[in-house]
Amino acid sequence: MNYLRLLLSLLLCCGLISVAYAQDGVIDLITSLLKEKDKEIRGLAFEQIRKEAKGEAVTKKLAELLPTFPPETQVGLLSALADRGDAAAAPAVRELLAKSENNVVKVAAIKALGPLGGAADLKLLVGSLTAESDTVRDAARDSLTRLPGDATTGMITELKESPVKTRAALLPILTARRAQEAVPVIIEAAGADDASLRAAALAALAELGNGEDITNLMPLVLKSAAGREREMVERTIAAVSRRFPTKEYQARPILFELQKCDDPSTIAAWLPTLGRVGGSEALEFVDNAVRSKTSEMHVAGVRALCNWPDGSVVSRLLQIARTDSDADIRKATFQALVRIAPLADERDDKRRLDTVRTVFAMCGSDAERNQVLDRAKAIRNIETLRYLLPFYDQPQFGQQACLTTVELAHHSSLRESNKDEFMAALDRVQKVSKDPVVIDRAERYKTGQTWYRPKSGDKSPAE
Amino acid sequence: MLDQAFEALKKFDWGQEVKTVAAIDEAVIATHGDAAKRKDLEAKLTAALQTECPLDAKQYICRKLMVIGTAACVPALAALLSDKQLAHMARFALERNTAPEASAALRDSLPKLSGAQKAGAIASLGGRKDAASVPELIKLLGDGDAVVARAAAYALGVIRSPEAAKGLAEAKPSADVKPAVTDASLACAESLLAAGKNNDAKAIYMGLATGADTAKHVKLAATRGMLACAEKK
Repeated sequence: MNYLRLLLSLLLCCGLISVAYAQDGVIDLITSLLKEKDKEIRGLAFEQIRKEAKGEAVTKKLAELLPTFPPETQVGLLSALADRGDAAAAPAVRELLAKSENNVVKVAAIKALGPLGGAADLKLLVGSLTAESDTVRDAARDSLTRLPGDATTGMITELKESPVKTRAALLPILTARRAQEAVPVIIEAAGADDASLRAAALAALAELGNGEDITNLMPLVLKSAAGREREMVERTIAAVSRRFPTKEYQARPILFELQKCDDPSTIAAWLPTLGRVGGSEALEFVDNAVRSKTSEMHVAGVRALCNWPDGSVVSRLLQIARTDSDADIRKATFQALVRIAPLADERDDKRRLDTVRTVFAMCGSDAERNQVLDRAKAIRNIETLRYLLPFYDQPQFGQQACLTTVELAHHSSLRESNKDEFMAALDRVQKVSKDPVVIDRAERYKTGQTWYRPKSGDKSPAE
Repeated sequence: MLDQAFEALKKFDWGQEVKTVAAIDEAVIATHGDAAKRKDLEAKLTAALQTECPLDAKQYICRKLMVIGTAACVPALAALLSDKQLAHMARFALERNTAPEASAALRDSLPKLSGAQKAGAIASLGGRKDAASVPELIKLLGDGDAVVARAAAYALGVIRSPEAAKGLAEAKPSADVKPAVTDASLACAESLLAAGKNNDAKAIYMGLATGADTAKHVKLAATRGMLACAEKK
């Protein structure tokens, strides 16, 4: 407290500070507190800088003092100035960033440029996105996300011109900034040669794209390699389509493109994407493809049905899985049925459960049967629990039946309204299951604890 | 009905039906705005307080006098300040009595009281923000009984006048009493700052912040106060 004592004694001897000099008094007092060894005392000064000491003049004076403090205080002061949000501190922050050799101070300065800096800091911050130090990269990312709005244009230019690694790092930032004006450039990036850049661009497009962008997104399906990458593109387009609030309109931009197109291969490539969006208008188009005599179009139509987002295509899939002449198609359709059979649509829970029973009967192996038992959890009805009961005592299905039971029991409205049956079932789960997490969950649900949902493989509480 | 209620008071205890004295409660309400009737009711209650009625009845009367009491009932209440069982209820009535005689009675009682009763009277003077008691309270900061000295410090912290602040700053309290003096000093400084007396407040804060043996939390509070003083124009 030596600095403080000296300063205050001086102020008191001089007849105490007058109103006119109150601001200087604040700065002097804050400065003396910042020189204290005790970090809690320094904390009071930081709090004063953040919330109380007002005005640009105070900001400038404090920022000018930055180089005079030791690194620990510099870090605190940078954070306080950043929270203060007065851009008048920016020149001093830049200067400290340029001159300091302390990495922690540099990181703090980069962080401070987010709220305090502007377009002038863009190059430096973008350059830091690929720094070796992950703390520098994180700080740069945070600052670019917070940089004032007029910096977005500069970021879009950087997205066009920077090296691949930088472009990939810029994409989540533009997403966080909700920079929809960047979508055309992001679509270009989604067609780039580098896979990581393409993946980052698709993730950004799923967040930023809207219905008008679908026309420009469709060619990406054709450019992407079949398999996982094409699925990513399809999912991105489906995510953008779902942004339409009216379900029936969601498939229209894709249908519009399909109807314009006269190349069967392109149509076949686009159909699975249409399937991911679904809807009655899409179903009509897909039905025509399934009925096609052309193998390519038929396969694409079936794939579209296999991608369907709800249970409305179950009867079609059942028919194909039973009657299609191609064994591969039957197999793929059956796999889709396992996923889609319990999904919601116009069918009531009883009919959905009947479909699950039907699919179970069609299974060719116990692994498939266990998949069906797993998917049954999507039908949150007491009848599903009753359906599971006979499986507990069958060694090949008992463990899955137990897991599905606790999944159903997790939903308190279902569990509490059928309490007796669930209590009895959970007792059996505790006897049959060999998974400590499932046993623990059963115990929790018996006592009404549904706020935590551990997964198998998590450490049990006993461990 | 009222006479019957006063008659019932002679055997009153909190376990019985309260309706036996309900007429007194109703009279307290009914006499609002009628000075003559209030005076008459106060006189009856004061007279009853001075009889040999049960302890519960006296407590009941003190509660009623807390609502309607004037200077007239002060002597009867003051007489109870040394009574271990009734001092608390007597102060309950005196502390809220708007007559200056109530303060005087509390001040006058101090030399005659000790221990918890004295600390209680001091607290009531603080509760009344009685500036006239400040010199006596400052003297009591050095009382040999730490309970009394602490009560004096807290009372000065409630009164919060510049004189109280000065007395606290100059006090040389024992270790037992020092935290109470510090607390009261901070309260005084806060009040002075709110009243625009920044320099007075700052002097207190600085004294606390720079004291060699001041506890950390006090230093932090005082430093925060200094910043508030510097910030306030």
